[in-house]
Amino acid sequence: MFRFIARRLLETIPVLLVIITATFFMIRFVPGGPFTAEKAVTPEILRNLEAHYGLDQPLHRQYFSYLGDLVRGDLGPSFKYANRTVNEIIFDKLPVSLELGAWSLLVALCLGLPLGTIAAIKRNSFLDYLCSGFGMVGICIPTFVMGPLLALLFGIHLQWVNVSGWYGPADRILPALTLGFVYAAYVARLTRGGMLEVLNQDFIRTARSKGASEFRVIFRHALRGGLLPIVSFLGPAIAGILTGSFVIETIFQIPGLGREFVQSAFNRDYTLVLGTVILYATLIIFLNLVVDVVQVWLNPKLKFE
Amino acid sequence: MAANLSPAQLPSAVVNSAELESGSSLWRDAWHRLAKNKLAVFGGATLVVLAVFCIVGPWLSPYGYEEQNLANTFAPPGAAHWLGTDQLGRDLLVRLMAGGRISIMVGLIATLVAISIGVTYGAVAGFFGGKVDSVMMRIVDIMYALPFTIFVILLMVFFGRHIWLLFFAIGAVEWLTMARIVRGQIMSIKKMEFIEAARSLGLGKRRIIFRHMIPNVLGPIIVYTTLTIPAIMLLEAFLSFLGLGVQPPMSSWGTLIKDGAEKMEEYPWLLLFPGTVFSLTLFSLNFLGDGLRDALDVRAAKD
Amino acid sequence: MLKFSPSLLTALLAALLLTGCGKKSATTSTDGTKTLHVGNGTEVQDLDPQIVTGVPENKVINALFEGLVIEGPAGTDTAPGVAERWETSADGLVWTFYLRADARWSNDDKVTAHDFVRSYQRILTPSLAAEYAYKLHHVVGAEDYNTGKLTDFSQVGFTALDDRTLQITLRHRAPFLLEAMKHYSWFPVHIPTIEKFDGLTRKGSRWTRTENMVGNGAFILTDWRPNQKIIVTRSPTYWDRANVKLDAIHYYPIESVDTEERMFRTGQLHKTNELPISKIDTYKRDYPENYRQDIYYGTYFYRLNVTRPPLNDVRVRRALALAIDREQLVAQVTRGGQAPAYHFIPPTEEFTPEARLQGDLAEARRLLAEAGYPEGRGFPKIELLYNTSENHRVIAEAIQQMWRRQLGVDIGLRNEEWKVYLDSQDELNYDICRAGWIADYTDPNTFADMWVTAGGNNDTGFSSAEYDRLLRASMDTQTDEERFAIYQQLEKILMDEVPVIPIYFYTRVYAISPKVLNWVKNPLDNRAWKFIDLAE
Repeated sequence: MFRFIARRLLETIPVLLVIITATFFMIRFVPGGPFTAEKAVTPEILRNLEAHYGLDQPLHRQYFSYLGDLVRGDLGPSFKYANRTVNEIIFDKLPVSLELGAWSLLVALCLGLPLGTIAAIKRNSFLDYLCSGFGMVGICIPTFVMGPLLALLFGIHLQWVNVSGWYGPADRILPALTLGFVYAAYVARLTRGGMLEVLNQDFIRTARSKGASEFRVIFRHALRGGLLPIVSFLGPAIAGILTGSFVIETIFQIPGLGREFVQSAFNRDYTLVLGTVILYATLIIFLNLVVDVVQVWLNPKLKFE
Repeated sequence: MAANLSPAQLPSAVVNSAELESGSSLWRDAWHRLAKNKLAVFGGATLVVLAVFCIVGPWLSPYGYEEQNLANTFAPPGAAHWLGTDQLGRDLLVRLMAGGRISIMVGLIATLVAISIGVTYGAVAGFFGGKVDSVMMRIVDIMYALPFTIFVILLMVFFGRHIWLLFFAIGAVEWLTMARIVRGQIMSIKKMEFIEAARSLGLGKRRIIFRHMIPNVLGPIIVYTTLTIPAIMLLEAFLSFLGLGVQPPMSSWGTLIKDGAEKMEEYPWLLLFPGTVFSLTLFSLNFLGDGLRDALDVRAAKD
Repeated sequence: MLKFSPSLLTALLAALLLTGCGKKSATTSTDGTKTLHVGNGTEVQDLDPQIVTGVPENKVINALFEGLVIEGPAGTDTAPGVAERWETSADGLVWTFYLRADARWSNDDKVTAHDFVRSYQRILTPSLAAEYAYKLHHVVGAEDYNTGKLTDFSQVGFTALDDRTLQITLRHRAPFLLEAMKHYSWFPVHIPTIEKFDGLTRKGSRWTRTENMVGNGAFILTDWRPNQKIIVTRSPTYWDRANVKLDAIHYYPIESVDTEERMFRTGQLHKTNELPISKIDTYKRDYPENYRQDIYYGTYFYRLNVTRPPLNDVRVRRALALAIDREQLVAQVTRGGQAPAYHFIPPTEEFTPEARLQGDLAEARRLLAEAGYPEGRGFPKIELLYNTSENHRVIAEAIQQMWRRQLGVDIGLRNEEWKVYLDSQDELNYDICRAGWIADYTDPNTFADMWVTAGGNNDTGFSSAEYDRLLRASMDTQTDEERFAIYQQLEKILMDEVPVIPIYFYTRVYAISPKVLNWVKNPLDNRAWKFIDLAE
């Protein structure tokens, strides 16, 4: 296992390099640049601007100097937020997104796993429909509807919490619920499906026939196999959930990283786009590695390849 | 019989797999089981009704989906406009039906693209394992990480704004998780005895993957497909934000819901009706999906 | 596990209820201090007045810095800022500003005429690449210095005659100079502070951070949490501190107008930046005391690409312009009290264009037929480009429908993401293109000079030798009457040639609490925060 992880970590370097290179050149070929503005600047000022940020250099030189800075851990200055560096922006906002993500994940798992499990055990019963139906809420009501709905209900009509902001602990509730519901829906559906695959397999029947308690059958045997699809899903999902959600952060005015992912592309903030992409890529690679390890753990028949 | 089988049944399983290829009773059996599942039948029927409603409806409506009446904006549901009108006085019902054509089409085609790529890719990676799997999965990691907005804008720069580009752009992102799920499932069954048996019989790799392995992991595929369709329908709204796909005054369910969400307090019908139809579709899809899953699951049927 | 959940649930509920009970709206003060909470659109790029280019930045910088003159308490007047008085030479080219003795930076340094000169040198330095440096180009030598043709700043028309006297020499008469000076590009910056942080010509140095910032405005920067809020509090060194009414202002960058409106309704904000269109009727009806709609000095219009057929034919352009029912559009679609535009330069008290788009629907149909497209037959497939936004979309949809109904021409809609759209517009890669123009300062000049041949903001391919000649002549006029007479002619050329279709004149629609006092109307939404007050 150690060799497997070490090899995967080594593979990370070329993968990241491909991602960085592709992103670097992709964004340069998109129409509009960081200084494209409604009120056009004069060509002289534009030239000065490009010289100021080194954009007048040949592209390959810019690329290598970016890589050089990157090796030293410097993601460069933001083009849009003139007095912030990309490192600062990420370190400022990542904790907020991590916190929101953690709460949402908690909601998603605490809701989704039990709902999915119950639905699978009591398949095609009223309880199944109830749990599955509740699990569907997060898919049927997109975040940009759910968020305002919750804000209207709990913020304006009941006045329990603020409609937006990220100051006190109560401000975490609505965003975490909104984001959590979506993932809860996925988790519930995938758990139900996964559990059904396993529940009828022979080893479960064997366990049952040996008189193991239903509780033990489910938690000791069934969940293990039933969780496989969820685990595959959760790898990329956690990367997404932890790096913030543009919609939720906009609706609830949360200073998280999700907005930067989207806005940096719209602003053609080259360095910030790259910075956020690198962060996300690292997370994805790392989490997919974790997923592969967990999958082996869940299914002892597999070996690390 | 393409389900997981106990070692004792092995020989017959392989024989039966061959039977499946010749178009045996398996599909007919599955169909019968499906037909007996009331919820699945209900789901399927609802979907058919919705599809007919969207395809035929606009021809029967006295209004065009783009026909405005600035003297009658934001009219609540009533006799003239059953579901009310929008900001430009357009009939919501006909816009909902016309939008359904787009959303159902996008939902079907783009999902089909995403599923075919995802399932094949994941199965191949999972089956071969080792270096092949390693390279294929690192490519997936790369695809996950590339900035989607920029990718889409670039696509439009190079290829214009054709509708097929929409399917391609959506397909390009939505297959990734499917590939990872299928790969995980395939890996978990590939050491199972019936696959070993199939190998030992000297069956071709392609045949083993498509005839023996994929049918065995259909459950998670169906479940995740029913989750992908709504995601794709909403993604379409984001792409039209970038200028790809549906252009105004044409509508889609995604854009209708998005518009309605901004006006939910003042003009609730603009959200309520599109939201209801959308939810109804998703519920039906899930019922149908669950039914399909059950129908194709041999063991469950034996209970 | 199960036995814990009821108690856990109770604890959660209790926490919810407690926070519920303890919650009070931010806009209610308890300790007698006056804190204003305002929505401020998007996050600021920076707070360096010589670097930034946006409107949200303007709001904050107006609290932190003060120019020679400021917006007056009435909204359309000019009040003394750092300069206590000023005079102009007879030819209008030399302006002398006399600075007040008690003007101070927030670190207690005196604000001197040298500070202004050095600030202007900084913004014009080519290597700083200030995007708004051109706003100073009215001054002798400023453009040459800015473009590197001149390297000796002493030849540029800024002179500190002594610590308290600043002389500015213009290259042409600019009666709007005082108006222009209310823009932050003319504000002074504290050079010694900037020098401490990576020197004068580095963009984005750390001098604008809360702990480093030195300003000369009525407020000082106390906290800046990106994407959350900016807090400014009353400055102890500001010369007019006795008359500053507010103790603090909190600026919230809120990108979603719906979120902003909800925050206003729950008392988290005193004033919003905007109001969603769908809320306008509700506010007018149910909360008229909170509803405001002010004239905003700008025009919403469509650019026409005059280099491409069929829009290279003036008859087609005129037909399209005449077929739009502007009255219905502003009443039913935009709903915010906008004025229908039949000419390009927005009217003010000083100047109202006389030229109009002349003609009715019949005329439009006749022109189209004359151009070879009777009832729209054979009209080529062209597109209307707009940047993605709900509001632009519905306007485009409405106008598309009017053209189809009235003229029988079928025009496609094409939306693009903001920067792609700007690029298409700049490259003339469009047929018809949505645009808006908000003045830099209240003078018709900022609208007239857009249409000079190959001007940076022309973007239509429109070129008229007569227009160019008249525009140049307007710079040499000696009186406003002469100048305005030329603008009348310019407007007439525009409305004859129709390179643009004016649609409406902007308004600003927002919600504001009646507690906010002295919130006067200003055509550019520019104001000195020291005059604003809050009722107890």
